[in-house]
Amino acid sequence: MNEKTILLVEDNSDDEALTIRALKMNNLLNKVVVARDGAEAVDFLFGTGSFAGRDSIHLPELVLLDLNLPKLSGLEVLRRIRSDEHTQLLPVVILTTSDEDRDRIDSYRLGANSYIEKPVNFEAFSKAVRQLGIYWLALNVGPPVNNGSL
Amino acid sequence: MHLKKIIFLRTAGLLTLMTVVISGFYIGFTIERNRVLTKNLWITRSQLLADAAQRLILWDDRVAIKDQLDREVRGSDVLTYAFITKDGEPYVSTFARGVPSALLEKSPASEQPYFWEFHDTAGMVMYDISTRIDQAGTVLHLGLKRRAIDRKMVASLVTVTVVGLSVMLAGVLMAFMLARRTTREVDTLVEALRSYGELNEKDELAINPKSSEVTELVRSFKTLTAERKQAEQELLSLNLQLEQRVTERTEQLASTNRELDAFAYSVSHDLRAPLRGIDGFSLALIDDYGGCLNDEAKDYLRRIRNGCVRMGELIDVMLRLSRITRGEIHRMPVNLGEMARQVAEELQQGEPDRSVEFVIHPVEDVYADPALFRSVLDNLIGNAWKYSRNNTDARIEFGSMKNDGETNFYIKDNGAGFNMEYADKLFSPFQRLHRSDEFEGIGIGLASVQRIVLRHGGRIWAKGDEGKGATFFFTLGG
Repeated sequence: MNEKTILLVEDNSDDEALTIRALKMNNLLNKVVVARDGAEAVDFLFGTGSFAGRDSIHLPELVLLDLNLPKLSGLEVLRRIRSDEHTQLLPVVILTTSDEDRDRIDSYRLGANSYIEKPVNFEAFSKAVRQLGIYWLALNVGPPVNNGSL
Repeated sequence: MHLKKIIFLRTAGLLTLMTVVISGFYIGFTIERNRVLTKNLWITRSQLLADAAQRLILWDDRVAIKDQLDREVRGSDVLTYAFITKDGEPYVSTFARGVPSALLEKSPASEQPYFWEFHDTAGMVMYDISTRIDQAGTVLHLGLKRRAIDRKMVASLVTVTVVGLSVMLAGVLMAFMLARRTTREVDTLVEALRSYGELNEKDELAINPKSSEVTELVRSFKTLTAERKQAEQELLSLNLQLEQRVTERTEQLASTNRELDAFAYSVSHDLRAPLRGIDGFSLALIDDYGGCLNDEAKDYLRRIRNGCVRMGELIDVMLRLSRITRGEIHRMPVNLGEMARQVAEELQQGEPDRSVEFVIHPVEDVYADPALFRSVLDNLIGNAWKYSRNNTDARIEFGSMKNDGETNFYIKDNGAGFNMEYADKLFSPFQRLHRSDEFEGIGIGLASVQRIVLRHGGRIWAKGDEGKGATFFFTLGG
């Protein structure tokens, strides 16, 4: 799993399709793993539930996390990521429709790396995805990968 | 004043007054009666003296007459002089230095002695009794001093005064006792009521009222106490109910607010997502299948996308409006004049080609939320700027005026104005008085402004004239 994987946590299949389309259109051809609710995202990251047996040592390069999710909310997923030693340094970008101050405050307080509002207009959305892809996948230098020898 | 004191003062006053009046009348009466008695006595004596003198005059024995008259004067406390006139000339006199001429003229008109009153040279009141002695006009005069007559009464007057004073003293004492006895029941009642404002059985026994009024008062108080206790009880239970209701309402309100919050959150999140889908997939259609679509189909897709953008904007402003209503207000001193200058500057920088005359008068500081009032001025001055863009010599004025002690701020322009008939629609959300192709906008600015002003406890209103301009006034509550 040397390829830079993106974990997209998104329950809305339209938004999922649009996000993947925007990534593709901007030539960000990384592997995208989609989790359709908070619990699935946590299972993927920690190799539990339906992802039991997955080699959870290899973490995605970036998590694109929606806030309004079934089962576990985005904020709860974020809290779990930050409270586990293995995943606490993982870059998490909140990608959401919400522009509530409360959500932004909670996200940053729980340790989100970025907070991006999804615009209604697809061109604007596509532009936002391109910029965040370029920044987080190309420009940004992530935490060192330590193959589980933390 | 204490009831006891009032009763005492009134009774004592009345008794004293009565004693004084009665004593006064008695004294006056006694003095007057003494004068009359003395007068009558001397009139009788003057007749006896006149008879006695008649014989002596026949013998012309002046010495004997003088001697008799001198004896009379000496023997009396009140008689100060005596003389006899013959043909209006003094004949015999007890006056040492001759008879005063005024006295010589007095002569009785009849056989009866004549009595008259005059003041002597020292101002003392004198009585003169003139009595005819014979037919020839020989007259005997006797002079009595009134003060001397009155002086004889001094002893009896002193007695009357002493008795009067004793009666007065007794009256005062009686008044005091009367006052004390009369008010004792009331005092006890008041004392019993003083601490609690109600009567208990022990107090009631202590009062043991004798007068029907106090009995009635005690009964009234008992009834009142019972009523008051009941009222208190009712009030207490009403208060409890009220508190309960307030708690319920507060809970309802909080729940409604939570629902509203949830609603706004849901709008923010869930309403936008499908829109993004519609817009995104419309664009995907154009991008991926544009070759298969004719121009009409592409136009429809473009219209779909425009609709999405507009709806997105509507959602945004609705959320903004709901946030103004929900958010907290942080008041601090703000100078709206300074803020208006900044807004004007930014508008001018945004459209440097337009020439608009800004007149911003200095205004006093207000206590308001600066962020919210920045939004108020952004909207009001922004509107003035927008609606005066067809005017070549546009002028926008900001200032304040005092009206009934209240500061009214105003923003005045000479732009498109509005018809006063629709003035009440100005502040309703999504209501517009101009078509979008005349002046762009979605009709949320003034609604937001009104909410902000209302939340500050102020008022907002507008005056306008179509084609001539509009003036917006607002106040900030205390």
